[in-house]
Amino acid sequence: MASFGDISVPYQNDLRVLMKYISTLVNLGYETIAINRTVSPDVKGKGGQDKIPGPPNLTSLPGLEDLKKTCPKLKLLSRITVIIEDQQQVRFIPGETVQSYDIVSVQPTNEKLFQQISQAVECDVISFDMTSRMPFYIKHPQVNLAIERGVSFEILYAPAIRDESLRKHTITNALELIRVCKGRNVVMSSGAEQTIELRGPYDIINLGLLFGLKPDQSKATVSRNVRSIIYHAEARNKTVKGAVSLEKMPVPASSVKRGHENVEQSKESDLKSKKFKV
Amino acid sequence: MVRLKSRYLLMEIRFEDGLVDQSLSSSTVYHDILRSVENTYGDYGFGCIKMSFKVKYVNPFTGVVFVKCSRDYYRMLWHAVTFLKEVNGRQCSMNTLHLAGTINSCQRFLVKHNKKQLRKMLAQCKTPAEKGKISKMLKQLPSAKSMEDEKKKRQGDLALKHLTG
Repeated sequence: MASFGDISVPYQNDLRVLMKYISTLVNLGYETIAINRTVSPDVKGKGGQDKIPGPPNLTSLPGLEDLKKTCPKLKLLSRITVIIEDQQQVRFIPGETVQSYDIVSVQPTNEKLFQQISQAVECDVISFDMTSRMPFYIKHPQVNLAIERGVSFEILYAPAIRDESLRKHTITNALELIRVCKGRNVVMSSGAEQTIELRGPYDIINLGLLFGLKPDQSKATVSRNVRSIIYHAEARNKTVKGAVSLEKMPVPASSVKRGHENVEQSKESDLKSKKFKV
Repeated sequence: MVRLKSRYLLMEIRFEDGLVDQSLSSSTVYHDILRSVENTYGDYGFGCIKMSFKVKYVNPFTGVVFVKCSRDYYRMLWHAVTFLKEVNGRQCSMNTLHLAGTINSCQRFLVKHNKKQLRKMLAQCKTPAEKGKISKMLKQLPSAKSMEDEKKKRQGDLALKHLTG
C-alpha cells in the first residue's frame, strides 16, 4: 500500500509554524507532505518570471532531524500552484522557476483556459477554487484529456471544515467534479489555514464517501493517486521526454585508470557506470 | 432474533493550544457531537443517531474518547465528527484512531497505540531523567504475550464455568 500523503500544506514564512504543520501531519500518519506556494504571476511589465519565488529549502527546517527519527520515511516536497486568469499567464508554466518545483499545479479560472491546460500545459495537478460557485461547468472531453495525460484533480477539504457556507460550495463542486471524472485521478488534500483543520487519513477517506466516491476510490485519493502524482512529476522533471533518465553512479575502484593499456577499458566501464532507466 | 449491532469509534481530541482540558466530561462531548450531527445532517441525522449514540468513555488527560453508535448510521456520525470544530467551547479537532465492532477490540488497539506513542516519546527525549521515566513506564506495561495468556485463561475459566454450571 502506498503511504498516505497530503500535497497541499500552505507555505509559511515562519519556518517554526511550518514545522508545526509538518509534525502534526506526521503524528496523524502522513508520510508524504508537499509544501504549497500559490502565485498569480503578473503579466504587465517585464520580469514577471523573476517575481515568482523559487522553491523553499526544505532540508534545513528547525527540528526536522528529530522528526525523521520518529518517521524515517518522511518525504518533503515543494509544490507551486499557479492561478491563471489570463491567456498570457500560461507562458510562465514551462519557465524554469516554476518547473524547478517538485510538483506543479495549475488553477484555471475559466473554461477556455481549462481546455488549454488540460490539452497541452505541462503540469501534474489541476485544482479549482471550490470555495465559491464554479464559474464554468467541468466537461467530460477536457477531463478525459487530462486523465489520459496522467494529470490529477484536487479537492481541498479544509474549507469544508472551516465554515458552513464554504462547506456547501465544496460539497457541490466536489460532487460535480467526481461525477465528471468518475472518481479517477482525484486527490484530496488539506489546504489548511490552521493546524486544527488537519484531519487523519482515515477521516479523509470517510469524507470522500460524502463527496460521492466509492470506498476504494476514496482510499486511493490519499494514497495511490498521491504516489502517481509524484511519479508523474518525476517523469516530467528528471527525464528526457519521460522515457530516459540519466543517473550518475560512483565509479567502481577497479576501473580507475592504471596505465595506457587500461584507458579503453576504463572508458567502457565509465559508460557502464551510467545507469539507464527506461 | 437478530442482535442489534453497533460500531465503536476510538477517537482522540487534539486542542488547538496543545493543552489538556480537565473539565472535559462525557456529557459535554456527547452534546457537542450531537450538535455537529444536527448541523451536518439536519433533523433526519439527529433522529437516526439519537437512540444508539453513546459516549462510553472520556479521558480528559490523554483526550481519548470511546463512542458507540448503531452500525447503520455510524458513517453519519463519523462525518459529523470530522466537521466538529469545538468541544467544551475550545477549538479542537478529532482524529479517529480505530473503528471496531466491539469495545474490547478498541481497547486492545488503544493499549498497542499507547505503547507506540511511548516509544515515540522515548525517541524524542532529551534529558536522561525523562528517558528513565518513560522506559520505566514501558517496562511496567503488560507485554503482548502476557495479555494473550490472560485472555486464554479467561476463556478457559468461562469454559470451565460452562461445563460445571
